[in-house]
Amino acid sequence: MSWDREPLEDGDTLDAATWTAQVDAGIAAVNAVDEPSCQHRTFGDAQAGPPIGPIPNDYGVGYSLFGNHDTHEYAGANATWGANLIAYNSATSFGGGDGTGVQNTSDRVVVGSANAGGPYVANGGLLCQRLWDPGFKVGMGHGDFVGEVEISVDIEVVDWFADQGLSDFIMFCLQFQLNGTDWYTIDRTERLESMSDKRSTTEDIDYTCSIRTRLIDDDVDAHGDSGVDLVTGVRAMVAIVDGQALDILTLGQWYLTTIPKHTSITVT
Amino acid sequence: MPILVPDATKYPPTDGTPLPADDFRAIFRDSATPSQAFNIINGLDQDNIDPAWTIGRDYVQRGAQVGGAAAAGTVNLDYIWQWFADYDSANGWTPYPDFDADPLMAVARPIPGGNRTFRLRYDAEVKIAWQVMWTNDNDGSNNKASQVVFCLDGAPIQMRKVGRTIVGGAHDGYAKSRWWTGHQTASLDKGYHTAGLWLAADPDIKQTRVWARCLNVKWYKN
Repeated sequence: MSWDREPLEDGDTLDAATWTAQVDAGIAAVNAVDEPSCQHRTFGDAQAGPPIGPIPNDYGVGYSLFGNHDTHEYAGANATWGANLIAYNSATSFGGGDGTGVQNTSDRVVVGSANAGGPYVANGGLLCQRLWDPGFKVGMGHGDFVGEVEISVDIEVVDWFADQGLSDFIMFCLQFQLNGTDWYTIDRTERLESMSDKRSTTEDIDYTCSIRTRLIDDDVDAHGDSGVDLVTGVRAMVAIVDGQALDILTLGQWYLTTIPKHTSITVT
Repeated sequence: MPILVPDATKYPPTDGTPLPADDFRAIFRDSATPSQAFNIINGLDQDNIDPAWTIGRDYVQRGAQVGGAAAAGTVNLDYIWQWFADYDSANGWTPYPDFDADPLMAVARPIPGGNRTFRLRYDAEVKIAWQVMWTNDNDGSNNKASQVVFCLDGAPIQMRKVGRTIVGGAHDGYAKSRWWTGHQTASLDKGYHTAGLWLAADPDIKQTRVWARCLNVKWYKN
C-alpha cells in the first residue's frame, strides 16, 4: 500500500496509539511498495528480477537442443506424408496454413524422425522437440507467469532433389503440444521450399530453414483454453508435398531453442 | 532481505512507559540490525514490492533486464587461398560437435560485420543469432570446402562447411550462394564477451566470397 500520511495538527492528541499508527503505516508502505508509490522507470536490475526463469518446475533449464544427423535422408515416397497435404497440391497454394484444422496432423513428421523413410547416416533418432513435464499455462495471468515462449529453430537443408521439379516441394513448421497428448501446427510458421538446385546431383544446396515465433495464449486458445490447458511440448516438423518416389530431402544439423518468458514482472 | 520488522522490545511503545531516546532512534536508524529500522528504505529490493502488483515494463529501467547488440555488413569480402595455404579442409569435415577445431582455427579469419564485442551488466542468458551468405570458385572436388565457424569468447562452437557452390562447374556455371542462419544460447557471466563468425577455406579453393552477414545478440538478466 502507498503511504497516505496524516500529519498531526496543533491540538491533536499524541499518544502511543497515535504515534504507532503513523509508524505502522510507514512500515506497511515500505514492505509493500505498489504502483502509486513509484515513478516510471523506478526499478533497475536489483529489484526487477530476471525476465526468464526460474520458471516453475525448471521449465527454463537448458533452453536449447542440438541435433546432428550428419545427413538424414527423407524419402519422398514415404507413406507418412505421400500426397496427404492436399491443400498444398496446387500451384496457387504455396504458403499459408493447410486449412485442415491442424489438429494432430499426420501428413508431416518431426525432424529427426525415423518414420521419415530415408536412412540415417549418423546420430539418428534425436528428435527436434522439447517436452515439458508437467507443462505450464501460457499467459501471464494464468498462474505460471509464462507470458510467451520464444521459439527459434534452424534446420540445415543439405540437399533437396525434386523428382518433378517445381511441383514437388518441402515444408517445415512448428507444432506445440497440449496436456501431453494433442499436437497443433502453428500455421504462421509454415515454410515452403521448391526445387533449389535445379535437380543437380553434383552439388549440395546447403541452406538453412529458419523459423522464429512466439507462442502466446491466443495460440492455445485457438485449440483449447489457455487458462486451463498445459503446454507440454514444442517440435519442428517436415513434410514432402506431393512426394514422388525419387524425391530425396537430406537434412543435417538442427538447433532448437525454446525460452519461456515473463511479459510482465511479478514478485510472487 | 530488507523487510522492515522493528525490534519488538522497543516497538510499539505503550502509554505511560517512558520511551528512551535510543529506542526511539532505533525505529528510524539502527546500524546493528538494519532490517529493524527505516533506514532500509535506501536499499529496497524485490522483497519489498507488493505481491499483488504485477509490474509493467513502464516501471523498469531500460536495459535493466534485457539488452542487445548487433553487427552487420553487405560489402563483398573476398578471401583468397594464400591465407589458408597450410589448411586441409578434409581435417574439419565432420560437423559440430566433433569437428577438429585446432587446424581450422589456426588459419580462420574473423568476418567483418559478423563479429561483436558486448558487455553484460549482469549474469545473463544470451541468445546469439546470425546469418551469413557465401560462395566460392571451387571447380574441383565437392569435399574441398569453405567453412564458416561461429565462435563465442574465442572458442569455436558451431561450424558449417560447403564444397562446390558453382552449379555446372566454374566459369560456365552460375554461382549458387550458400546461407547459414544459426543461433546459439549460453549462460554468461557479467563482463565483456565476444561472439562472431570466422572463415577458413581449403587452399585449393582460390577465392571465397562472403557478401552478407549479420549477427545479433540478445541477453536476458539471469
